[in-house]
Amino acid sequence: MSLRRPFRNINFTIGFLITLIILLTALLSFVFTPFDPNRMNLSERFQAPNQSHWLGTDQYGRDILSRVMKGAVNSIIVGLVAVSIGMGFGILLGSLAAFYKKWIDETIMRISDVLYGFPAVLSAILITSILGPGAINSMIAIGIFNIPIFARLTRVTSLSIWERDYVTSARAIGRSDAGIIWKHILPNILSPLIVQGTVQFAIAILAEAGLSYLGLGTQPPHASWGRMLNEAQTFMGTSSYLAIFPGCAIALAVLGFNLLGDGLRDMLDPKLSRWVGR
Amino acid sequence: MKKFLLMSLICLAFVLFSTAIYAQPKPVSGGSLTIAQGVEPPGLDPTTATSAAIPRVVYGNVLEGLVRVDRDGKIIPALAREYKVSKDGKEYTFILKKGVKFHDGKPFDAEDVKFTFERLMDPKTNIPNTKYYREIESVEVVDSHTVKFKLKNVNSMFLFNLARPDSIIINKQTADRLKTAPVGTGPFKFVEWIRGDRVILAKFEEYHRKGLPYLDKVTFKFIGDPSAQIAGLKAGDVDVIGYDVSPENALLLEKDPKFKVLNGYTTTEVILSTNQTRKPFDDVRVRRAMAHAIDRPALIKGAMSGYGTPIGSHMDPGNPYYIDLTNIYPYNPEKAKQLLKEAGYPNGFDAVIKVPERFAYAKRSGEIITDMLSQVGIRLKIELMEWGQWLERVLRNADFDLTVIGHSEPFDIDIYANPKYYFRYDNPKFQETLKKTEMEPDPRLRRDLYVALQKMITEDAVNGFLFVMPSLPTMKKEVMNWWKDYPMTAQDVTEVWIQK
Repeated sequence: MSLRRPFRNINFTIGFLITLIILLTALLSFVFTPFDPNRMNLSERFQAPNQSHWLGTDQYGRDILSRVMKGAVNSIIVGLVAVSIGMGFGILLGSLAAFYKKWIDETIMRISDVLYGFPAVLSAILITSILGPGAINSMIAIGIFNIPIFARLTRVTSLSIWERDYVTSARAIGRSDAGIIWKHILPNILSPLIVQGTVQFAIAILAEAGLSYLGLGTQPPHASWGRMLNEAQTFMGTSSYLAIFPGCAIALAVLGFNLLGDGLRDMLDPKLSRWVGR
Repeated sequence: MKKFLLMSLICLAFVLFSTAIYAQPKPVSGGSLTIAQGVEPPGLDPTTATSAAIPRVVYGNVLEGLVRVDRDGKIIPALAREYKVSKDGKEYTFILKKGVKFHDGKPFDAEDVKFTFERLMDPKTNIPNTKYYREIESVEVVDSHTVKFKLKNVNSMFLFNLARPDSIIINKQTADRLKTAPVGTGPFKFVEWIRGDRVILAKFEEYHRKGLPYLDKVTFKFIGDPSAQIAGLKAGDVDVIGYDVSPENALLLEKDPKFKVLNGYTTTEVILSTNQTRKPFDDVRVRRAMAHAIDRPALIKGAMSGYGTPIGSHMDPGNPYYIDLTNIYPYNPEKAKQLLKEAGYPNGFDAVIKVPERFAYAKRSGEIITDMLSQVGIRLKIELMEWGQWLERVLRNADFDLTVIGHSEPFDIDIYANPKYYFRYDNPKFQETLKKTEMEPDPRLRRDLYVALQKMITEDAVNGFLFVMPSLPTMKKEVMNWWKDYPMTAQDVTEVWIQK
């Protein structure tokens, strides 16, 4: 299998590149930003994009480029934590449901149906208003609404695998249930989970931006794309660039992860692709 | 040389004369005015509820008191023609205006005054601001147009309290209608209140100040969303936005030749409230260090787009007793660091600033202060709070280190005499001086005492004194004579007229 082959998929290529750029920007911001992202300079407020401030400055004279860069870190962390929470609990619950069936299955699935029924951002707002606003709480909130998505996916995909002959034979030679789930079930359902993971990653970034926009997510003075949009809104009439750059960053990140997910799905689907060797 | 002087004098006279003419075009009667207001009042009775939205509709327009506050913050007669104070300062005699009528046709007389104040003092009326009338011993009707107030103690705030919206004069027959359809002596009579939408007032033809009001009809339209208010102004549905224009929008509207923005004072002092009982804020050196670390002009620029006036104590520049104390703690980060060192915090300290999310001025000031204090080593964590939560935790339970909030009540330096008030300032000397001040009958001595009070809290750097909120009423160019400053919680449109 050649390393070049995945890049024949145009979605994957573009998505991968965008994601890479965002990831590198986030990594770079740990060692270098043009200015301190939180340092105010009230004599340089509302500068339109210029040579020293490439994307201009905000209402406190903070450098927007530096803040967008730091905001990328924030978004990636939120995406990672939220998807990890969702995947971790989702896979566990989904596997339990698929394995034990009967009332455990019923209970887990009905609860996740209820959770699933809530609009994602609405339930995140609900959870953050219980836990209190803040970056960590918003990650937890977004993670929680990810759980039923992964639980359902895990259950559905693993149900059919439990019926396979090699699972029966593994049972026959006396493998433990946990061992079967770990060795035979999980590897077989991993690809749809990864694809779902990238999609949820994009949704998590969007949800965090939404929560921060409402003042429930990242707290000032820390940079978050959503919060930047929130603060820019009152200055739309005078300095629209304040909103444009964080807005573009959100759009780009969501696009990137979605394309990546699409590309991965195409490639990981054995019916559509030949490059995944068996 | 002489000729030159003469010529310049003539020129000067001409300039002065022409500006005088230009500045005071003759008012014209007629027309209607629509005022946008963010908050709809919960009722129209200014005596039994504290919402500032109530007086902003009715006070000065529908309902009037014995005295009122003029545009410069001075107390002047309104329904009283004049008043006399006895030598010992415990007796106030009011000579009432004659020929004044209520909107229901009843002539105004001394009995109405007696009724009004006895109603306010009656515990059954259950008014929130009992402290305004606590010192009144009795209200006596001397004759049909003379009333005598006897006070238990001398109270320098007595007249000012009579100028508050709480002290509006009503008559017995219509007292129970006050909340829904108030009847007063004001220039406008109440016509209709369409709940959730607007209050409509119409010119009262028999108003006692001759020639007033100029307007035929006034509508207060309640529009909660600030951007909808501005859209209304631009579309022509609204003529004036009295209170709710944000600084960044004011900046924008100022540039539009169709509108004008007045930049005046309010009585809202925005302060960095500091919990005096929490370490390290119990140390005056720490509080002084914070005062030195805050660059007020820069703060006003960043948080208020440059609108607002810096203050050095808890009094607004519109107050007659105001003195400028902004130079006591000039911006000086080095001095701040030195003071922190003396207080035993050479490396600064950590604290939390709780800011009500609802108010942009507070949120922005909080963010800027966090940045400014970080430069002298004080590391603040910002906690944005929902308004209800802020009221509960900060105001009621004093569970906070620092917060930013505006105090809108006029003449409220007395909050520093209450050790239970949320910033927990307990200074017996201040409490004593305030008591003395309020009992001082001589206006000149009283002034000195008020100055001393202001200095005392500045000396102690009780709170970070930041700025006074700008008034920023914004209106169409044609609207004339709107109040530039707001020394009292009101939107008095008696003298407002529309240029044709």
